[in-house]
Amino acid sequence: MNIEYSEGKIVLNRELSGLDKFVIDFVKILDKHDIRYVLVSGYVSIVFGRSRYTEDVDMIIQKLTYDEFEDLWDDITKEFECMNTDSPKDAYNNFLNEYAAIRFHRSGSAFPNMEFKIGTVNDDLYSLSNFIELILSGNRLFISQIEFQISYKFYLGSQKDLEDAKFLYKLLEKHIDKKLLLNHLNKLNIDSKLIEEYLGYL
Amino acid sequence: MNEFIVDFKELDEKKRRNKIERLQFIDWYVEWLKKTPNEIWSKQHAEFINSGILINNEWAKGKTKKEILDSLN
Repeated sequence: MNIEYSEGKIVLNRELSGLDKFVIDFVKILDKHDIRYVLVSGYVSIVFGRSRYTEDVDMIIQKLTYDEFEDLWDDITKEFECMNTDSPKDAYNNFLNEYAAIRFHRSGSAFPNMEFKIGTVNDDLYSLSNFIELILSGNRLFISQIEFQISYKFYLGSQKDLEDAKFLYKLLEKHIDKKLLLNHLNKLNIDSKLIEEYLGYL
Repeated sequence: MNEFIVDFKELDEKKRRNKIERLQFIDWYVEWLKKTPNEIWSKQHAEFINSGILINNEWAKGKTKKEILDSLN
């Protein structure tokens, strides 16, 4: 794997999958509206080659007023459909404002879909302000900080999440800030034996 | 054998081995990724991901949005 890693930025040139193209097309709309977002969870592992599939891509966005959201909705729904509702008012008032996610998919294909929510809780807000700029074959994406992503996967704790954490750590080990990673893991009260089992001795 | 006889000792051992094998696979796969040129691993990876998308969309044909959402939540 040829990957360029510098402070806050990763450049990866590779063949794009349908999942990548879906993400790239979706974030172009957010970029057009100058909306801050961060991609988190499974896609962050998959984008670096993790050999597993996902039905959805998790995205956290900045707080929006209803008018900002409606403008964004009008553009998104030119290419994508919302799975939860056809009404932007319903999406905003009964989902996003209630800290729930809405899902968008390309018209005609239910999968993959973008699980889209406004960042409100502390971990979302941390992800929104501590991101990595990933240049994926010339396309700019904002992804979660790798150290935070690994720690959060430990917190979630399913076999799949722990394997995602191990994959990211092993692949990007030489670029990872181990002090920062340990700090996150300690704050999340992750058992040291579990860390050692999956990552080895840090 | 017509009856399923539960042997937790046997099942736990199977689960333990499976977990070890999965983690060993990640170690092997990461090493393979590191030494394989991007155009090779990512071609295979894209084929794998694209087949997942295809299978999921085949499954979703004829289903309502509610049925799909229920399956995801």
